[in-house]
Amino acid sequence: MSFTNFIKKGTLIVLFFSFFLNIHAKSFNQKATTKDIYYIQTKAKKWCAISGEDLDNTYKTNYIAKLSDGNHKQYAALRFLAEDWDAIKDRVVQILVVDAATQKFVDARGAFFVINSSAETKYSKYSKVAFAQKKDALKFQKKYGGDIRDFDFTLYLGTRDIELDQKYFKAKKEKSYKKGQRIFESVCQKIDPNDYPSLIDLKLDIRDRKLCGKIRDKNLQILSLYLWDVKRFGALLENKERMKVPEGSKCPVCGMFVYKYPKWAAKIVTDTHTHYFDGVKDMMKFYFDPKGYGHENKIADFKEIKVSDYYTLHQIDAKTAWYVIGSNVYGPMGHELIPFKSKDDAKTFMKNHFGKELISFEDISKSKVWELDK
Amino acid sequence: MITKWLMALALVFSLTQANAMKMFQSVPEKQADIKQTGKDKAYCPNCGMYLPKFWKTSHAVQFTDGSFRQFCSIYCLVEQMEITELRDKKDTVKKILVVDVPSLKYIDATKAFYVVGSKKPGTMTVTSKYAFKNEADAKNFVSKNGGELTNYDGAYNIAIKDFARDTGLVLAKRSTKMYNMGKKLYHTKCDQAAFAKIDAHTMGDMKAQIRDTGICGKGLKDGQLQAIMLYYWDVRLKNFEKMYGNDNEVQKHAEAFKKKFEKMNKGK
Repeated sequence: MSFTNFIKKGTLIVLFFSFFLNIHAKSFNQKATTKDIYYIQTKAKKWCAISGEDLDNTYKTNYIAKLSDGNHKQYAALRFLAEDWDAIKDRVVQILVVDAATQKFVDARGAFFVINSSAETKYSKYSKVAFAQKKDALKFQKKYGGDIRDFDFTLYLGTRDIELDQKYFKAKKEKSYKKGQRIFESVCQKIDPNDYPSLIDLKLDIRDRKLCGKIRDKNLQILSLYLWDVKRFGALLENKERMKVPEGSKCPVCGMFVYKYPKWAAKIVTDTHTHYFDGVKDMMKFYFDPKGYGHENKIADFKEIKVSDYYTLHQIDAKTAWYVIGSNVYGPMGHELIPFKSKDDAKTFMKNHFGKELISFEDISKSKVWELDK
Repeated sequence: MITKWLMALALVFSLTQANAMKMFQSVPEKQADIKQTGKDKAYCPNCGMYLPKFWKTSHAVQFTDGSFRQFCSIYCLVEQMEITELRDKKDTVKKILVVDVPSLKYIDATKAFYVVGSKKPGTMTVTSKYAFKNEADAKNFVSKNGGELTNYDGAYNIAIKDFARDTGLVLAKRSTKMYNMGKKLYHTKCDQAAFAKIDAHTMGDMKAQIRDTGICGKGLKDGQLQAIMLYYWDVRLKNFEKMYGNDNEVQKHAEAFKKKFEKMNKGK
């Protein structure tokens, strides 16, 4: 086959497939077409805070969350903001979204969201595209169909769609995990994903310390996702002294599934119930005010209080543990009290992660806990 | 806020007292214009409630093929349009209808005058919504019962805004009363082996099958049928949990309503 023939055939095939794809969904390019891309994060500024994906690839559906503790997070799409929502909702000062018409960030409250349209987007079965002006939303709706909704309802649907989207993209994701595993086993040094507080920290460390040699950006992402989503839990199963968290248990303070954040698991046991928390901070909020979270417990009812040692992940007694606050390591709920069995470990951590204070369990006061969210 | 709570309480009160006291929404069976077909045609397919009992808040969808689906309220319409079956099938919807309160006839919802937030209790919501063909009737209703005048979009947007809270109210109401009542009836009156063989596509369908097969005995009242169906559909088949178990907004509102109801029951 001559080269030109090959090209012709290739074009035909591409045309053929794009025709089929277009029957149900119309193509809508989320990629930035402006040079003027705005990044707000200081660490890993071009990556989505939750998924690690490149922000510019879906820039037209980017979100920014400005938080009361001074953190700013940027997301590739509403799905990832929704996945992070329970962790950030008490700290949200403002949510910004890209106006798909001008590719500039605007306040999400007040924007017009065209949802359920046929404009196919990358991370969600149900498309959600924002506009600052109603006339632009109407124009988009005319082309792609769908409904115009406000931010609150769109976010509500976004949180509901998380499960649906995980199922919708499952086959694709599993294929990618297999590829990630192959990359890990062929080119990487020993990496324990449980050593990292977040996917972003893991991905950065692999890149900066060249733990997998020279690796392409796309493969770095695939590899990091495999380590974070799959290997992190596999390694955990081998750790016999870890805290075992039942799959369905939710943190009574923030409502998040605790098993998803094994590194941060903490628990309080009473005669009738075991409460699990996705961090010492939430556990202490409950400890000081169980009634505020719907439980008629008194401190005297707490038979057993356990936390997870940051380095070993071993389940340790909360009352004899040491806690570092003010460091640059964040848990799923933001600033944390980070627990250690040994005071020496805590001191090492403090030095490496710019901790501000090292305290014992008795030193943890209500005001200290609430200050962490400021 | 306080009025919202009072209205929610009034709603629960009106539902628990349904037999003793005629509800504002109710009409005699022959006055309800049932346009659906099938053995379950008198029930809202989305929640199983008996349409004549909630007639004055009924909404309906006419599909492009000419068939109808009737709902007890705008809440059930919104649930299907925004969350479940009709979310990506809106192009099959030709027309939305709503009952005109004075005439009890269906009219084009998009041309109706809506009164929202009046003293008259709503159906499956904290914010009641009633529709009128004539503006004068709507204004007259406002002067007697309070509330605000709006149009279909206005009423629909309030239903969307309230959706998670209304769903929480529905769950709280079912779990403080209906599930217990249904559980008792199920264990004392129903043929459980036969029950397990029921293959129902909607809540209305299941309710009709319980009624027609007689697997829970004959002569059950509508409230009893509804309670058995809810217990089986929501609790045993876990359909509610599958839909809203992980919905933190709904769960949060449900907890708050449950607490209020428990307090109210203690006060009695």
